[in-house]
Amino acid sequence: MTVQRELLGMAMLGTARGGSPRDRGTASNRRLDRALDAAREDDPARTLLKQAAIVAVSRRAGRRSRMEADLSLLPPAMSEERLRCTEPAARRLASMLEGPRQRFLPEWFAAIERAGQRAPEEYLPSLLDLATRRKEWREPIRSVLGRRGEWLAQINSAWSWAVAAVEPASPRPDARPGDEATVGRMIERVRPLLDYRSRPLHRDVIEVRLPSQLDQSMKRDGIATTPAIAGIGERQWWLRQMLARIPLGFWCALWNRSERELVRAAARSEWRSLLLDGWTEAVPLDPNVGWIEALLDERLEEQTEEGIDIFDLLPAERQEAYLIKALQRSSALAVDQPAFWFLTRSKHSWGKRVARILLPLLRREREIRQTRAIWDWEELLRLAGQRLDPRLAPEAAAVLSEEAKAKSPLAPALAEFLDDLEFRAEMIKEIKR
Amino acid sequence: MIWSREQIDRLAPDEAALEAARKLADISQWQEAGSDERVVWGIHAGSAKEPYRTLAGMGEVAFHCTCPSRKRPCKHVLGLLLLMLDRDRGEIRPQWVNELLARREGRNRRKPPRKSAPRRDESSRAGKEPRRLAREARVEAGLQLVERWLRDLVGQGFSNVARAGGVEWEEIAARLVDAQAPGLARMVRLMSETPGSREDWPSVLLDQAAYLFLAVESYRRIDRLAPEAQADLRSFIGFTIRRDEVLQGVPVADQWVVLGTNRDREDRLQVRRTWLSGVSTGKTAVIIEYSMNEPGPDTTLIPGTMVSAELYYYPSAFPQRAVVGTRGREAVVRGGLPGSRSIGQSLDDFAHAIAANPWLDFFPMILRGVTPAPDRGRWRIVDERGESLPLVAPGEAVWPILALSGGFPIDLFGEWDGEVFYPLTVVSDRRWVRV
Repeated sequence: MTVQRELLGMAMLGTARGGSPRDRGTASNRRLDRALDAAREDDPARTLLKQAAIVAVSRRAGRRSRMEADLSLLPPAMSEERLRCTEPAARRLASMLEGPRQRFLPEWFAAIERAGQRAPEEYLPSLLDLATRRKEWREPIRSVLGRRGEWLAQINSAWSWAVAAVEPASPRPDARPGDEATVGRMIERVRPLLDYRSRPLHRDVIEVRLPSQLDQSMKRDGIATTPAIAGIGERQWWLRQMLARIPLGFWCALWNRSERELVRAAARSEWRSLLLDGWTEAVPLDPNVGWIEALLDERLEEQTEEGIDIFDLLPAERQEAYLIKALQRSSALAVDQPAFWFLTRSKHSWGKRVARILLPLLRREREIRQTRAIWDWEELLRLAGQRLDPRLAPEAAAVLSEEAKAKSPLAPALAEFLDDLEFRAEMIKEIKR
Repeated sequence: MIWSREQIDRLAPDEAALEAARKLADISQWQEAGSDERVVWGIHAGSAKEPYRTLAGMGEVAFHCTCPSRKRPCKHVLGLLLLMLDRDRGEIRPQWVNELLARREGRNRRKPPRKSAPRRDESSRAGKEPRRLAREARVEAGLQLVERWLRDLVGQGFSNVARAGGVEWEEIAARLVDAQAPGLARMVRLMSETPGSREDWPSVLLDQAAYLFLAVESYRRIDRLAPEAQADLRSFIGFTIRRDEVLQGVPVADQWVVLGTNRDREDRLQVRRTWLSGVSTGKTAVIIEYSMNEPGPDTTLIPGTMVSAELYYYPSAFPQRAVVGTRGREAVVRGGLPGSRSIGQSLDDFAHAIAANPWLDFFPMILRGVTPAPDRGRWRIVDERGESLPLVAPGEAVWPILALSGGFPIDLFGEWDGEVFYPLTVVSDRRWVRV
């Protein structure tokens, strides 16, 4: 038993409760033994404390390192192919990770990836943690982790998602791919109910008869009996569901009309919203730019937010074109205006052409707006700060920096927008290729 | 002024301050701004009634800003430094800058060297002697209290104290504070947290009790100790030495590399330990600063930089704690940690340090070529000779170290407390990274 164990045993029990002082000469070291013996006194508690002091100091000073036979080193990481990003870029990353500008991180990831660089090693644990919490950021973060990040993920099981190969791409949302036979049966059922009537002076119309009953085979094909939404009759509901299962190309071929002509004719119909809604729901079966734009134009005409979610299915450059159209058709930027609906939907970067319309509109809005609720204004600007191409920061400042200083409840959001834009502009600048 | 962008970045107390500063690095934000060889100055054109006056300089001047921010340096100082990066020097200092500088220097000079004021010295000594005796008497009473309590503790046995509760111990600690022995009080508070805190708590408690008892016994014989050992013991008990007394000593001039900093808590205070290593003397030193609030007091000692300075060590048998006297130029260190050693060598150094000053609580270790390795759910660092130490990284901090290593050896600076190694700075790929 070591001296320390002996002393500890006594201290646990208590010298007043029968713990007796250690015997002489038990230490392995003679000098230590002599020192311990010299520390003896009549009072067992004082003896214990003195001896413990000698042992404590000598143990602390004399501590040796463990020679590790059983300690196995980790297999080292592979060498990196990408260069570490620049110091300023790394500091930008640090400030975004801890600060309120986390939402700009995906843009940083994308720019670093484009530049063929990677995040510095010391930030990898934070990035891995972040992506573990936010699944939607995993792919962009994975692209800046480098070999070292993958190596770390092999060690910490919480990050194992970063080890595996690319996750399988999720199928297109909302598409309900019916097999050909089902589509065929739907066409058979709907075909007798719709008629395209040509009329002079571009007043063509689609005439609709509602289905009279819902038979067993329809139910088997997944047509629900009771409406899932309010304000629609049962028979309309059946037809709308059937329309939603027929790829839109069928109607162009059937009546030999363009999608734009068909949408106009549907809009003139007695059952206008039934037709437009059914077709809108059919878009994901075959997302065709012509159909999407024709349907959206009708909504824009009508000034309704109903059914505009198919905007998401447009390719990036068509989305931008559509944003411009929506901006031109809007008298203001408020929540009841198409500009607001489409801008807040858009997931892509807004370029120069959008900026040229948007920036003056923002200035005008700041001047004319009655300030009651401004949440939509704030949301729009927050989004603009995130989406507008950061290279346009000088132009934005030129148009708006005076407005941002105005004494108005609308000004702070503008100032923040300009700050965000400048922040991103600097962020892109400091990522050198 | 010779600040580099890198230095300014490292100067910032946090990223938020740096980001705010970037916005202030814009001439339109300043009514006036200029610089010469020694200082930069500016008047911020903000919304405040009285515009903030900002000053930054080398050495003694450090930072000055009239804004209410507690951060040191504040965003105005940082912004001004960033703004002036590319500016020509040699502008004419405005009157207000000279006045401010004169006032600051006056404050520094007001601490008179003892010898130069004999009359005042006489009178103050006459007043001091009884005060000193009264304190010694109080400390003596405190020591008796500690001894009785310790004897009782080992007399009753540790198995019974786990139930005894911390109230009584807190009372002992409070009485030691009254007895003007705050160092002993801190030890008692530490002990009160020990029972049940970990599996081997009895052995920790015995060591703590033993150290406390050693202090009590040694203090009774303090006259027989060498002056440096007396100083170490008095510092452990809680006697403080004033800064100006330390500045009476003989300075050590060197190029000091800033190895790393640690933020810690001691009682209710924030403590910052900044470790230095002298390039030509090979000495290490620690600058300890206390403050009430978060970011800590002014400092321009940034890990990865070096400064030529005169250091005044506190008296000790193993001098570590020091204050900075006059300072000269600063530069960024290009290269690795200076004076790095193997684990075995570092433990030898520690043994010598403890032999000289058994009260030493933290010891700087500059380790060369160590690799983190897993060890039954914990981590150790191993050097190329196979020697290893337990690596304690508070919370998740082990992961950045692991990330920087990637399974390869790295140079590591940190504090050794006799039981575990606390990493503070990693140098790999010639980059200095705070962890």
